[in-house]
Amino acid sequence: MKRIYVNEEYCIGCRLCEIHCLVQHSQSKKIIKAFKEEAPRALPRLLVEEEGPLSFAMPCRHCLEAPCVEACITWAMHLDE
Amino acid sequence: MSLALLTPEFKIERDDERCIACQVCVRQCANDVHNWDPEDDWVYSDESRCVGCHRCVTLCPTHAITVRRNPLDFRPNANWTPQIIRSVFKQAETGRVLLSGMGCDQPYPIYFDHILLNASQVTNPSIDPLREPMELRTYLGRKPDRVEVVQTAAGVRIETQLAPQLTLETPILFSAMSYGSISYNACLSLARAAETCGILYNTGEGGLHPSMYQYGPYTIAQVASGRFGVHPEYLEVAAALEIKIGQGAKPGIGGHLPGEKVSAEVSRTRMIPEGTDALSPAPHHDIYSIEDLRQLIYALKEATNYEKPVGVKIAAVHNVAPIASGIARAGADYIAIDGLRGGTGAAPTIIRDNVGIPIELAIAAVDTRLRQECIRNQVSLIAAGSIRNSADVVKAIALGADAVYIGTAALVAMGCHLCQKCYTGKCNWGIATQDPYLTKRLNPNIGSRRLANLIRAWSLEIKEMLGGMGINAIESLRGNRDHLRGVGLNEVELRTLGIKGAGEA
Repeated sequence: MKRIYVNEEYCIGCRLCEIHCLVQHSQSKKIIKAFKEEAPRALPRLLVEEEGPLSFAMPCRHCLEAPCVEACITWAMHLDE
Repeated sequence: MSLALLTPEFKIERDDERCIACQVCVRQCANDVHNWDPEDDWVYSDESRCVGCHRCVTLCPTHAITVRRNPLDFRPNANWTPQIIRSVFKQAETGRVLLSGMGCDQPYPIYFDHILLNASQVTNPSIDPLREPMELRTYLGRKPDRVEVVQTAAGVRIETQLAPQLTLETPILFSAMSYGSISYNACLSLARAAETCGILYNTGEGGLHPSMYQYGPYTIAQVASGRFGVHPEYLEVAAALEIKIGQGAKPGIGGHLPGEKVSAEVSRTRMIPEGTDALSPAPHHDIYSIEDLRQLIYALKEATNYEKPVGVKIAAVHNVAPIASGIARAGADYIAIDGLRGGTGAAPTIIRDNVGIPIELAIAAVDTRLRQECIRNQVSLIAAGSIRNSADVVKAIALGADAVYIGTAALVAMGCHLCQKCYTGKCNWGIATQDPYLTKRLNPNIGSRRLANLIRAWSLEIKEMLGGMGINAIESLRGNRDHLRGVGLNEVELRTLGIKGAGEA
C-alpha cells in the first residue's frame, strides 16, 4: 500500500504553498489578479494542517512542476521522481 | 507609566494595490506587528513593535511591504543624536541597563576600509589560481623553534616532536556561538558546514548536544567562566579546547542567557535546571593571573592526554599585546583575539559600543610584540571581531593573524538581518531563539549549504587576491605587511598597524 509520509520538521506554516497553488489554479495565473479580481476566487489544492508548532502541507501531487514545492522556503516539500 | 515617549523606530508601508491579505506577514512576525481583521479582510500593522528584521518583506509574495526607518526627524543636533535621545527615553521609562545583540554599530573608524592590498605588475609575475596550485591549508598550534632531522640509511627522519595541530582547509573558522544563544538548527548548520569545508566551528559556552558528537573532529569545545556543559566526554570528542576569557562585544563582562531560552534540551546540554538564567561570571573564579591561566591550560591538556591544542580567547583591550605575550608563555597553542566589533547574543549596549579596541590594531600590536619577544612561533593567532568579507580575511592575515573567526558573517549567511534583537529570543529567522515555532524556520540542510557556499566563495576570492600579489600560499602572506598600504590614516595608526602609507614605495 502506498503511504504518504510528511516531513513536518521544517514546515513553518507560512502557507506560501497554498497561495502559489491558488494562483496556479486561477484563471489569470497572476497573483494579485487572482486574489483581488477573480470571483469566485480559485481554491488551493493543498492544505496546511496545524496544531501548535507542528504543521505540514498536504499536497495533491498532481503538478509535475509544482508551484507549491517551489514556493516552500524551508525545503519542507520535495518532488521525488 | 502612562505616557511612553518612544516613537516607532520603523515605518511599515503596505502597498494597498499589491497586498492580497494572504496573512503570510501575520503568521511570520514573532513580534505581532501585523494583524488580520476578519471583518474587513485586511491586514493592519502596529509599527511600534517592528524591529526591522525584514522577515515579512522577504516573504511577502507580492512585495507589498516596505520597511523603512521612521522618517520622523528630531531637531538636528550633532551632539544629541536620535539614538542617544531614544536611549534616555527608554531608560527613563524602565530604569534598566539597555541590552543589544550583535556587534558595536557606532561609526568608529573601520581600519580594514583604510587598508589597500598590493598586486604584481611587470617586475614580479602574478599567479592565476585557476591554472596553478594555490595553498590555503592552515595549521593552528604551537610550532617548534627548530626542526631537527636525522639522516639515516632509510631516508630522513624528523626528530622534533610536534605539538598537536589543527588542520584547516582555508584560514577561516566559525566563531563561538553557543547552543542556547542560537538554535539547535543553527548549531547543526555550522557543524555540518565545518565538516563540508574542512574547517572548525566553536561550541561557545553552550556545551555540546550528544547528537552532535559525530561532528567532534570539527568542533572547538569552549570552556568559559560558567563551565556550562563541561564534562569528560565533551573534552574528549572535540578537536581542540578553548578557554574563553573575554568577548569583543563585552570585554570584562560575563554572560547572561535568559531563562526563557533555557529549554529542556538546552538545560540537558548545559547541565543546568530548565528555565533558570545561565549566568557566566565576568572573570573565571579560578583565574586571577597568568599563572592561574597556565594551571587551567595544563589541567585541560592533562585531561586530554596532551593530544589536543588548547587555545585562549580574549577581547582586544588596550594592553592586549602584553596580555597575549603572557598567554603564549602560559602554554596556549593559539590565542583568539576578539575586536571591538565582535558580536554577541546579548550585551549591555553601553559596553558593546564603548569598550575595547578594533581588531586590526590589536592583531598588528600582538603580532609585533610576539615577534619582538621571539615567541611568535609558539602560538597561533586567530583574529575575530567583524571579518566581513574575503578582503578582511586577507588583510587580517597580512597584519599577522594565522586564521580568522567569523560569527556575524556566518549568521548573515544563514539569514540574519542584523536587527540586533538576539537577546529577546524572538528571532524571526529562527537563529537566535529556542521557540519551537521559530527554530523550524532554519532548515539545517539549507543553513549548512549556505555557510559552505560562503566559505567556498571567500576561499576562491582569497586565492585570486593571493595570486594577484604573486603569492601561492597563505603561509607567505602571514604577517607580510609589505603587501598593505594605509589610506587616510595618521602616523600613529600607521605605526601601530606596521604598514606604510599608500604611495610609499
